[in-house]
Amino acid sequence: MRGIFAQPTFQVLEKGIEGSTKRQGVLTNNIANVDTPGFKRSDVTFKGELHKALNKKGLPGEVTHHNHRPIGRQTLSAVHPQKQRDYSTSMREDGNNVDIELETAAMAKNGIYHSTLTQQLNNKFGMLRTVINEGRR
Amino acid sequence: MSIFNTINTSASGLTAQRLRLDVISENIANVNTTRTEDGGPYRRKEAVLASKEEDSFQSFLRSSINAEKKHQPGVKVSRIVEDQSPFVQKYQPDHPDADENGIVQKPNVNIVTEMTNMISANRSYEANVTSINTAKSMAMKSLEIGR
Repeated sequence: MRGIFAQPTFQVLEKGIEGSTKRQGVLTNNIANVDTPGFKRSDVTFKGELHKALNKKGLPGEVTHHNHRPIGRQTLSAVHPQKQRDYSTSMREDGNNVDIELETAAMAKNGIYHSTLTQQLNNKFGMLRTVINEGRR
Repeated sequence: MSIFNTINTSASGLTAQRLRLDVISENIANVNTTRTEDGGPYRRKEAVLASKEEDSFQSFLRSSINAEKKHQPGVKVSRIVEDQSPFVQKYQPDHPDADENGIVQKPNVNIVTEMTNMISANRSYEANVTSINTAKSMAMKSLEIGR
């Protein structure tokens, strides 16, 4: 029997929350370094990876050794949000490419994304709770 | 990265911007200072900000050999430098620090530059406060999971 928490929905929501928390940290670091000369912003991309993992196309490559690189379709648990540096040039004189408007907007979006996922997770738990409680009557 | 680390990152931004503001205040306060301990007029100072994260090969090597914790993200004031631009020359023969031609060397502080930098520091400070607030509300929201 698969556990009640082994549904992919839980995993997807978990990964989403993990990713948005990490993204918050990276965006915060960008904002803290808004006046640092030569600083290049970073971002966390994981939505594409999540999408690929959910989209059940292609063959999954088996990973049997710790030095193997995962290829093909990946399982949800293999999705790890990664920090990526953005080396695009800036119009600023000091070589810094942090755009404060972009960062705060991204942060606001990320906050909403995070609370959507938590709410969704709560709804799932609420449904389970309803099932458990109603069966008892 | 935990949510508290995120807040620490913003806090380092707040500290750096506050120090920047302190330096700017010192410049403004000394806009007419013609005598300093080092002799000569006051030289304008500026805080140099640097990212706390290191990208160098050396830092990666060190962290993998010693298995020490990765660098904390954030910003720090690496040093405070003196502006080497020339002093402002002003003709004021009655001034006690005037030379034989009646010229006084005034500090190289431009009040317009200082005010602009002050506004910039202020806005950056606000942006860091905003990110602390977002991180806080995310943390509080996460606490509601499963309630």
